[in-house]
Amino acid sequence: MQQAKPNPHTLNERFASGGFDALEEAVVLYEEKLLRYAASILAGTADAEDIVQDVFITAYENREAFDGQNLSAWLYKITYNRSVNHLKRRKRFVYREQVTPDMNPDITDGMSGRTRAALFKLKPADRALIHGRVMDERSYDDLASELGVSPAALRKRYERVKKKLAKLLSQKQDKGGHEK
Amino acid sequence: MIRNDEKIIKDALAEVTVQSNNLSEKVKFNMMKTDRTPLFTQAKRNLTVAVAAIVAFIFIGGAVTAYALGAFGGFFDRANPEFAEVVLPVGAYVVSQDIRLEVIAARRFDAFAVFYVSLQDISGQNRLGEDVYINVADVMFTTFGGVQLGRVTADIGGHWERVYFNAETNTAYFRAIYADPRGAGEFRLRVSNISLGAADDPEATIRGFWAMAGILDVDLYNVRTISQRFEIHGLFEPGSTYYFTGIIITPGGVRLIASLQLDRHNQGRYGPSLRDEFPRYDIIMENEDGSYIEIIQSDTWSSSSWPVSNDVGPFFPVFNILGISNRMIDMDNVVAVIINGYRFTLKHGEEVANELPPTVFDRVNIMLAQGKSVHFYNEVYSYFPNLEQLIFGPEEFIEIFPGAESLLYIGDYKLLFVMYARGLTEQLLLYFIPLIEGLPNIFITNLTYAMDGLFPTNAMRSRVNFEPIDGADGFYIIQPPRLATAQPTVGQDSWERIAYRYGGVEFYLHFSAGILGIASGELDGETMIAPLTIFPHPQSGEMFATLRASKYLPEFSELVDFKDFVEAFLEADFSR
Repeated sequence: MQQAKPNPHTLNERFASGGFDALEEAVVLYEEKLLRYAASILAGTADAEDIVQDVFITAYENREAFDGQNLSAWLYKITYNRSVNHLKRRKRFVYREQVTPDMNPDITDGMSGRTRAALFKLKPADRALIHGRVMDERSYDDLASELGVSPAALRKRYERVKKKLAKLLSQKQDKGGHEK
Repeated sequence: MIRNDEKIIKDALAEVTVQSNNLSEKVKFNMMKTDRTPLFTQAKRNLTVAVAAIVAFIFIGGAVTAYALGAFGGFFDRANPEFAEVVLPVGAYVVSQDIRLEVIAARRFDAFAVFYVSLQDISGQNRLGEDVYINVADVMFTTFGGVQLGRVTADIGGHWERVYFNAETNTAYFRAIYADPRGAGEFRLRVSNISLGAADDPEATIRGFWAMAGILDVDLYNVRTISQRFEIHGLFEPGSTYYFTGIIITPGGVRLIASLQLDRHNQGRYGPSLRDEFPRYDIIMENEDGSYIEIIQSDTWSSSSWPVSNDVGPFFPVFNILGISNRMIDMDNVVAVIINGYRFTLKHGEEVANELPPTVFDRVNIMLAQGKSVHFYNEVYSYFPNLEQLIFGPEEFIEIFPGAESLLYIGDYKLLFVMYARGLTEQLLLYFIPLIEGLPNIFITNLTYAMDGLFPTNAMRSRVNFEPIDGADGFYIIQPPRLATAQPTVGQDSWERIAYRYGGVEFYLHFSAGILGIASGELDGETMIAPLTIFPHPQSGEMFATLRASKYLPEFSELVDFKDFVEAFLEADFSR
């Protein structure tokens, strides 16, 4: 029997006050989006699952702090913070040897080497911005709150980063010739 | 053009595949593992009370003054004698890059733990200044079985405080307090990076520094009841109901199994829920002559490779047998399985497992006695920057990569780990040399590894096998599973597999050395002392440890010295 799809509107309020049912609904509703969001910020899929799992647990544990208004935005924000913190820790630990990976386009662990290499050339916040706009069609206001930048600045930055990423992705395609 | 840019990006990101792998179940499992909300509230309350207690101790004792390096007594004599009575001396230290880090003492108070840590520059360069601080430290909260439940880092959930700086010895002393909202298991403190000067000054940071200390929540100086009930109504019997509540001390550590009820009928399919029901087992298989022929660690619950399971049908618990790879188990000669200290006879070819006489211990109160039970940890970290690209050939060794060395001191013993690696057929072989002074066969009871990440995760942690190298005493090969299963990206199409890394490969070897424990309890009205049993593997001579609850050794009911304890066990005759 197919499970009824959770309603994001009613879920907001129930999550704030609710129990495991609301948590489970939130997972069903947002897990894939958050996984993809984290994967884009991390420029890889390897740690996304751990982070998103932690996001849900953290959100649930701190649900009293949630205002019941926009669960989606709240989860995105936690995901962003967790992902960036994760990157910082990694970077701090191996910073001397951190190099831009010369990815083999044929290699994939959920994300092609071409995509990963291109994302690596962006800042994590820019990856979040791109993903939020292109994949999830999130508003500038929403993203501005998450990234700590004004919507106007974010709009300009988006245009610039979008061009850059598209160029990077295109260059790789032309140069490597590994596209399948 | 704008639209085109978006399309290019969208196409690329849309190709990304993410796998949730039952994320919902995992989240649920972690949430259900403990009653988190009340615990969190409780933890905060405990933290408040306990922190207040600590603060009181500090003020009563006056200012912290100079003390001898690494001397537990000296430190607290001067800092605060009263506090010395409530913390446990640890004294484990590591030396890396001429910086010595010692966990002087630690103590757990319900849902939080306090650590006293010193750092000293032993190079004579006086690199430590007044503003030295711990850059990256984290505490892992684990169950008693070593399963990581959570983690906080210094900059998020932990509180580090520099309590004293001794300019003469160039030693800084810290107190770290961590709280575990789950209130379960043990705390493991791990310090990796140290900043010597101003915050975030990369040039003044020592990296790759790695030290770890763990403390178990065993209320070290207090007797308390851990289990109210320990009942086993038969085993392997379909339809039976089993109750397990108790303490189990295994090579992997001490852990509690919460009360659980199993109905084998409900276990035709094994999924994540089984982890909840059966956290983990250590199994010893016993040969006809009573000798142990293998230790099997069950860490996953996916499938059974044990032929016996075919005899007893789908009701047999799922054990993923991770034996010692170069020693085959002679299944025909297996006559018994000992699970957590209890022996269950097996007969092959018959479904006599169902005829096992039930072993019932009714309402056994198992308590931790006044045993000094300390779990020491060390993690050896090695970073291989040259392994950015691994090329694995089908047969021959490709290249040998230099690794790192790390020293661990535990009491009188010293262990030296030297690691290097080489690529070989889809695997990365890791070598280490345990150089042990003071005791020839100190037991390394728990060795896990993790790759490519700052923090080991359950998915990447695994028991590893020790494989002695012929003609090279003291050398061992550790063979992690195929790299493809451990996150390196490995091509699928050709025999020459290439793994690209983010700037190299990180390895941890996490081992526990010296698990000491004494449990006592009431069995049929009689006091029982169940010490940790240490025994050598009959073939390899490697030392293993487990709790043999059937042993009555009242002489160990007193607090024992670490060295005496180990030696006494090594000399003891535990033959059945």
